[in-house]
Amino acid sequence: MARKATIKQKSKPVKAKAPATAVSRGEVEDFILAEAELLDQGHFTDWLALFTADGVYWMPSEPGQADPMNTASIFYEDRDILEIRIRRMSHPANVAQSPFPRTSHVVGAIRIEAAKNGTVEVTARQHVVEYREGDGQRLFAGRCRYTLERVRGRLKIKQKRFDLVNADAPHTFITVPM
Amino acid sequence: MTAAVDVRALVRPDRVHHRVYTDPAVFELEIKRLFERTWIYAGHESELPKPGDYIRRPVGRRDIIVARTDSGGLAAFGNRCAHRGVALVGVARGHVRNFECPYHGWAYGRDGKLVGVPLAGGYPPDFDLEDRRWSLAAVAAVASYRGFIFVRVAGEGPPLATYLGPVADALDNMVDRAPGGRLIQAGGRFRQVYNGNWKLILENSLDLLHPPYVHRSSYPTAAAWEADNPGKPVDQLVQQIKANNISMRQWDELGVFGLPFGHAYMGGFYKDSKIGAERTDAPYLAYKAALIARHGSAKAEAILALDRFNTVIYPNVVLNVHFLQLRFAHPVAVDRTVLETYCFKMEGAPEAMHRASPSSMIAQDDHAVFAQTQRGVANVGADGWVDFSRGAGAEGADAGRRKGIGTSELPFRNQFQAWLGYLAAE
Repeated sequence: MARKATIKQKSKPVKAKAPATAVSRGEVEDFILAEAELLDQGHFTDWLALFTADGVYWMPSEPGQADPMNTASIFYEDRDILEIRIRRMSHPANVAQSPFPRTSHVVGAIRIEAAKNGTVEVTARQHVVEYREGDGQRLFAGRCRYTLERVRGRLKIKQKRFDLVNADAPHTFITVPM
Repeated sequence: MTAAVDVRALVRPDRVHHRVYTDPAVFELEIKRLFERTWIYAGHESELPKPGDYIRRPVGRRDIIVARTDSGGLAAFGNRCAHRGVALVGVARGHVRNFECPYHGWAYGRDGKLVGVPLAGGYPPDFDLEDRRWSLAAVAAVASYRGFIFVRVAGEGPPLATYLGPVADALDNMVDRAPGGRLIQAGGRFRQVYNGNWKLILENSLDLLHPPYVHRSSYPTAAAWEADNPGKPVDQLVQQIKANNISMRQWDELGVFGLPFGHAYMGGFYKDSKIGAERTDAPYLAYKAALIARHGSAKAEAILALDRFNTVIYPNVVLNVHFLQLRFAHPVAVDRTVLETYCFKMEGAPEAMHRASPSSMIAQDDHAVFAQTQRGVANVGADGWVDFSRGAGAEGADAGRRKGIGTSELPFRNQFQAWLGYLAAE
C-alpha cells in the first residue's frame, strides 16, 4: 500500500505539468510516425486524408520564413493543389516523376509544444533520404512543425511545415511532399 | 587554357551544333564574351533603398557588389579587396558604413573608393589613397531602367536603354501596372537549380510547341479535379495548368517576336479570354480603380491590355509581366544552371493582388526535360546538330521585329544570331 502511494505521489507533479489537453504523447507519436510511413510507402491519397479540409503543407524557401505569400516557397499547397499533385503522380506522361522518387523518413525528437482550444502544436526533427534514378540520392533534414486538430475524434493535420536546414540553398526540384 | 573554338562553325541559320550546350570550352567563351561583356540584370532598386545598402550578385564568374552611394546613386564593383584579394562581404545583401576588409582592415566608401588603411605610415611614401588602383575594381557600367539595375562587367557597348530597345516595353508595362508608379521587390530570392545548360530555359520560355507534350500530365488531372469539384474557386496554379492546354492553333495565334540583341517575347493569352474572363474579384476591382485614378480610364485599359506572357531579356532574364515575376538564369557550369525567381509588388495596389506562387508542378516537368536534353543532346557522333528550322522561311517583320507564328522556332534562331555576334568578337 505504501509503495502504491509513493508512485501516486511521484506521478502527480508530472500530471500537473502535462498540457491540459485530451491528447497523449503516445497518440501524437503514433500519428506522426504513421504519417511518415504513408509517404515512404507512396500512399499519398491516404496521406492527404490526414489533413483537415483547410489543411496546408508548407516547405519554406527561407529559414524562419514568416509569410508564404511574399516569397515563393518550395511547397505551399492547400488540399486542392495537393490533390492535383497526387492525382498527377499516376499519369503516364509525368516527366518529372518518371522514374518516381523513393523516400525514407526518420522522425525523432517529437515534442508537444502546446495544446489548447482543440489544436496541438508539435515539433519534430525529420531526416529524409530521397533517391531518384538519374538524379541520385539526396538528404533533406530539418524541423517539422505540425498543427494538429481533433476532427470527429481523430487527429488531423491543419498544417505541416518542414523547415529544411538548407531551405535557402538552390535545390533541384523536390517533387514529393516529405 | 582551352583550345580555340571556332564558334562560327557551330551555328547555322536553322540549327546549332550540340557543343553549344555541352562543350566546357564554349561555356568559358560565353562567360568571357557574353556574360562579362553585356548588360546583365543585377537587382532591383527597391532592394537597396538607403545609402549603404548593398546587394551581392553573380555576373558570369564575377561576384559583384551593387551599393547605394551617399548621394543616392548606384555603384558596382567586384567583391574583392584591392590589398590582398579577399572577398569583402559574404551575404547576399546588407548595409555598411564602409566596406571594411575582414582580413587587414582596408576600408572603402560606399562608392568603392579606399578611405582608410591601418597604420598608414607603414606603406611606401608614395602610397596614395586617392590612386584608383586602390579602389574596389568598378564594373565598366552600371545603370538602372525604371528600377531594374543592370551591370556590364567589362568592355564597351551601347547604353542600357539602347540595349533594351523595344523589349523595354515589358519592363515599362510591369512598372506602369503599379498604381503608385513603382514596383517593390517582395520577399527574398527563390533559387532552384537544374542540371542543364543555361540556354535551355531561355528556349523553353518561348517554346510554344512544348506545353501539350511536356505538361501532358497536368491538364487532364486539373480538368478531372475541376469536374469533381464544380463551383470551387480556381487557383492561380489551376489557371496556369489550364493555360497549357489551349489548342495548337491557339498557340500559333499568340505569335513570337524576335528583337535586336537576342531579346524576344511571346504574345499573351489573358486578354482574349483564352484561359478565363477578366477578373471580377474585389481586390482586382479595387486595384483597377486605383490604376484608373492615376492614369485615367483609357491609359489604364491600355496598360492592362498589353498582354504578354514570357519576355526574354537576353541573355538570362525571363520576365512575366502578368505574374509580376522575374527569373534570372545564372550559368554555373555548362550543364548546371541556378535559377533565381523574384516577385514584385505594385505600389498602391491592394495587398491581396500579390501572391507569390510556390514552385509549381508545371515547371518541375520543364526542369526534368532540361536534364533529359542535357543527357541526350551529345549522345551522338561528333556531327550532331540541334534543329531549329520550324517556321524558318515563314517569318515576317513588324516594326523592326522578327515575327512568327507561336510555334515557330524563331526566338531561338534570333537568340543564336545574337549569341554568335558576341562569341565571335575577339
